[in-house]
Amino acid sequence: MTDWTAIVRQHLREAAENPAREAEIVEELAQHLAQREADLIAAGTDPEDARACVMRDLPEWPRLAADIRLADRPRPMAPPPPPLRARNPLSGIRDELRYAVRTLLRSPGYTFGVVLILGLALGAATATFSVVNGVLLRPLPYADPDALVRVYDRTDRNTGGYVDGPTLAAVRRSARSFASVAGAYTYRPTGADLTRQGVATRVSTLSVTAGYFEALATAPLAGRTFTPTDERPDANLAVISEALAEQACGGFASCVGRSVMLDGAPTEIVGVMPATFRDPIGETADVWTPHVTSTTVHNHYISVIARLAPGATLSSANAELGMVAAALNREYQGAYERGPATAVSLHEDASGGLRTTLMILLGAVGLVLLIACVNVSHLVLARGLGRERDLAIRAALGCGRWQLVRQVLAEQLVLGAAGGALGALLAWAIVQALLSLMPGALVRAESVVIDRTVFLFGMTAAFGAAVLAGLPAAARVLTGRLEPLLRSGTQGAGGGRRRFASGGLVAAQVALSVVVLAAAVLLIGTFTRLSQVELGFDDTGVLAFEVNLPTARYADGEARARVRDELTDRFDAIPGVAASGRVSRLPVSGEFNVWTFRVAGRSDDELGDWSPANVRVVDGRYFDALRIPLVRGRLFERTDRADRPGAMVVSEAFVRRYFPDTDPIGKRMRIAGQFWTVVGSVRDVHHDHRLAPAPTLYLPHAQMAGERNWALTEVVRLSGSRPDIVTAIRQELAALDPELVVYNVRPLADVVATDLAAPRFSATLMTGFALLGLAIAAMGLAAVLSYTVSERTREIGVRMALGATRGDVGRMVVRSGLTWVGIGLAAGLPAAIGAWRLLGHLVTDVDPPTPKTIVTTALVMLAVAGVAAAVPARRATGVEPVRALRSE
Amino acid sequence: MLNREAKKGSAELLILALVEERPRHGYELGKLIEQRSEGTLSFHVASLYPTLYRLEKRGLITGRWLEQAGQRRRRFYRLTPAGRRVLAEQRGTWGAFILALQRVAGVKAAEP
Repeated sequence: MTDWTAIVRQHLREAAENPAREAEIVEELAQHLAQREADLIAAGTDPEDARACVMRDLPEWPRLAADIRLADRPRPMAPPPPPLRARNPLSGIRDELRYAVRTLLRSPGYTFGVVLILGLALGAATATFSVVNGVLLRPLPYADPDALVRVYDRTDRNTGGYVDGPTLAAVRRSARSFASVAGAYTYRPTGADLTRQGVATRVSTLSVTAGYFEALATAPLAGRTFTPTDERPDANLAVISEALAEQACGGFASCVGRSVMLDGAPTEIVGVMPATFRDPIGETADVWTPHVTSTTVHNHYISVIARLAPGATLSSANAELGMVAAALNREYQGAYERGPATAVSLHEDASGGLRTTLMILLGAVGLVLLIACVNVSHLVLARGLGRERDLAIRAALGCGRWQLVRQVLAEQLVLGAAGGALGALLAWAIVQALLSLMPGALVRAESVVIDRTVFLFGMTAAFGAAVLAGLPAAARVLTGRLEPLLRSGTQGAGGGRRRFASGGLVAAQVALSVVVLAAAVLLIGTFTRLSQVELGFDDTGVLAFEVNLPTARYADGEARARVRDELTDRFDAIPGVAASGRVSRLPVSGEFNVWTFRVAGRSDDELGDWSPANVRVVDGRYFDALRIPLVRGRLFERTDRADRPGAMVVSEAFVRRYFPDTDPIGKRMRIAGQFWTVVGSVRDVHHDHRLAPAPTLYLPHAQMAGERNWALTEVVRLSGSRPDIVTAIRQELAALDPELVVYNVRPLADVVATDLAAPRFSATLMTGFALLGLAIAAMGLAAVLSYTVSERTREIGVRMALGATRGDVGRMVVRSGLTWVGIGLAAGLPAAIGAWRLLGHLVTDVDPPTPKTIVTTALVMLAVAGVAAAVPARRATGVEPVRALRSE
Repeated sequence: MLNREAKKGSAELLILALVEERPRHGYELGKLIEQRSEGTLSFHVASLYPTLYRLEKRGLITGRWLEQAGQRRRRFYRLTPAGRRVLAEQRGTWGAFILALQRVAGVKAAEP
């Protein structure tokens, strides 16, 4: 029993004129409170609840003391009572929450279950949202980021929207909508060998025009950025990163004006960019060099970014770009039929194609959260049912319904806070795991962090979900007839209606799970099909790496060809190497160098002018290293030298497209300014998992070396395990030229995996969501069935006494569960088909659903439900008839 | 529920009327008011006891500690002759008031 005397005495000090009178008042009031508490307990209320109920009715003490003083000793100069003020609502809420915590701690199993379910779903939701936030919502890390745009040339689908030199020049010259316009060479990652004291290291480079850093509104830490006069081939200038300045000069201030050897050429450092600076497209470079824009019409190769001038908008900029295009069309009459370049928000561009995928994943995780809500609402109801008698007594004794609702909601808030905290921890772990397990799946991955926005989202979702889950129980308290329960004894009334409600909630969980499961099945199917695509080459046991031949020291094409030949000989001679070679672009790394060619001797109308094909420059035993089989003719040989007629190997797709009925061997073609003869054809190789192999032309490096200093990727096939292969390769390279660097070493299989990073990412996440949804729904089903079994123990006993076998009983339980699962499936499958339609509509590389997808989805759901029903069914079969009958 | 002012105004009348039948203690008064008004009126500690003390101070009721067998002592309040006069007065005033409400505002007693 509570010591009410102490409580009253503490609060009513000096309410009376003398201690004796005060003692009387204290005794009287304390007695009143004690009596009320005793009455509540006598009526069956839990002592803890009774005390809380009395506490809630307690007066506002100072006012009571004043009232008593006024009533008990009226004096002419009695002080007025303190102004009436509302009872501090916060202290009321605090009491309510404290009481909720105590109540929850008394049912640890229930509390743990709810917090776990909420926490898991919230963890998944918060992690997904943190990705959405990082990739889509967080502004780009530049001043006034909304003014940044990327300019695309969309006239040619195959060039990926890169802009050609004349267009960039025209926009820079005449467009007034932009405060600054700049080009950057992001067509492929570039690098350079930085030599210090005879030791070369590889640094990443980005070639940019003047205005690049200005468009991004980032000033150098020291020195300057590039000016238009720097844009000349012999400039030999560089802006470097703070990190590199630290390494190379021991600080940024002393770096400016120094000269370093970059690819064998003395290069002056003119500026240092702060460590916080990020390149908006691709990885951030160590070194920026001035870019000399190509003047070739239709050579679409450069990325253009710009900053809108104050007052300019995207649409005004695009209108102006239209006028620029019109002027270009006049200038290059005939040769230059084109539509206008288009400006799009750089922020949208940076999030790339991920927007739709992420929105779909967010929607799916929202469904999982809803499943958790439905599940928890069922748990809350079930617990409420257990306490209904208690609630009815309290309601009868004057604890108002609203007070009871407030109590239900307070408990939900406490559960939400705990679930949210667990969810935040899980989200952090999930994000870490995602980023480390699936590199390359996300752009802007560095901005995927649990920041304030994510935290607020998580907590809002937590409280929202918890309160939502408490609403059915609250509605029941408000509208339900509580009194009959008092009369109906311990079993309570309305078992049938209650079972119906439980079953309905199970069906709802199943229906929602089916939708998420269906999406997962479809994405897994798509990913599986993609990863089983026959790529046309063998990536096992192949190592890829890069070796750059600095143009300053290898200025001559013939010298470069000779060195590459020597590399082939040296690598091939390493024990354990089966074949080595090199290529200008690895397979499944996307379309690249899409050049136009013309079949010699064919009239224009036969093949329509110039036709596009992917061009790959290869060297050494490239086809052997990748096991790309020869179909007809021959591969390149050492005799295909620069002074010999041009030799070309074509892919089978090329043959099918351009020589469907004739033998291609011996055909002559014009490409890259010279004539080539087809000497052989090889099997198709995919440039992309999602696309059919594109027509491809292979040209020998020895005959293309004079065209440019090709950035080739070395490939080496190993015949067995050779852990020290990189060391051996470095030794061979050092023997040839000690200043050459081996960099970017990775297994070819990694390159293949990277191409599937995005579908793997979405399939993995969606599968995780589906498993979580299924697990929650299964727990819900098992809980409902367990409850049914315990409620019907007597009935089961009677049935068994009357001759039902254990099998009959088990079947009865499973059947009652599967009925609801069936209803859930019936409701969920049409929604799932809708989800498939939506997925196929929104995401391009998702397969359409097949009957197999539908059957798989339904079977997985049924299997999970079967397992969930098995546990309570086993319990039912274990009922001892005699004991069950006696138990009542 | 009646509003605060109406409750306060009627409190004295209610208490005086209840202790007219026989002496009662505070908790019993609170319960009786709630029961007989079928929950329309309820008095908690904060409203009940200051009223009791005021009535006692004005000499309309007297409180006295009484012990019953096997129970703690309780303070029972009984009506004084002065209290009886005031009760009669108040009954008359409230009766007239209710009549006035019926005639002027069409107020009728709610169906029990």
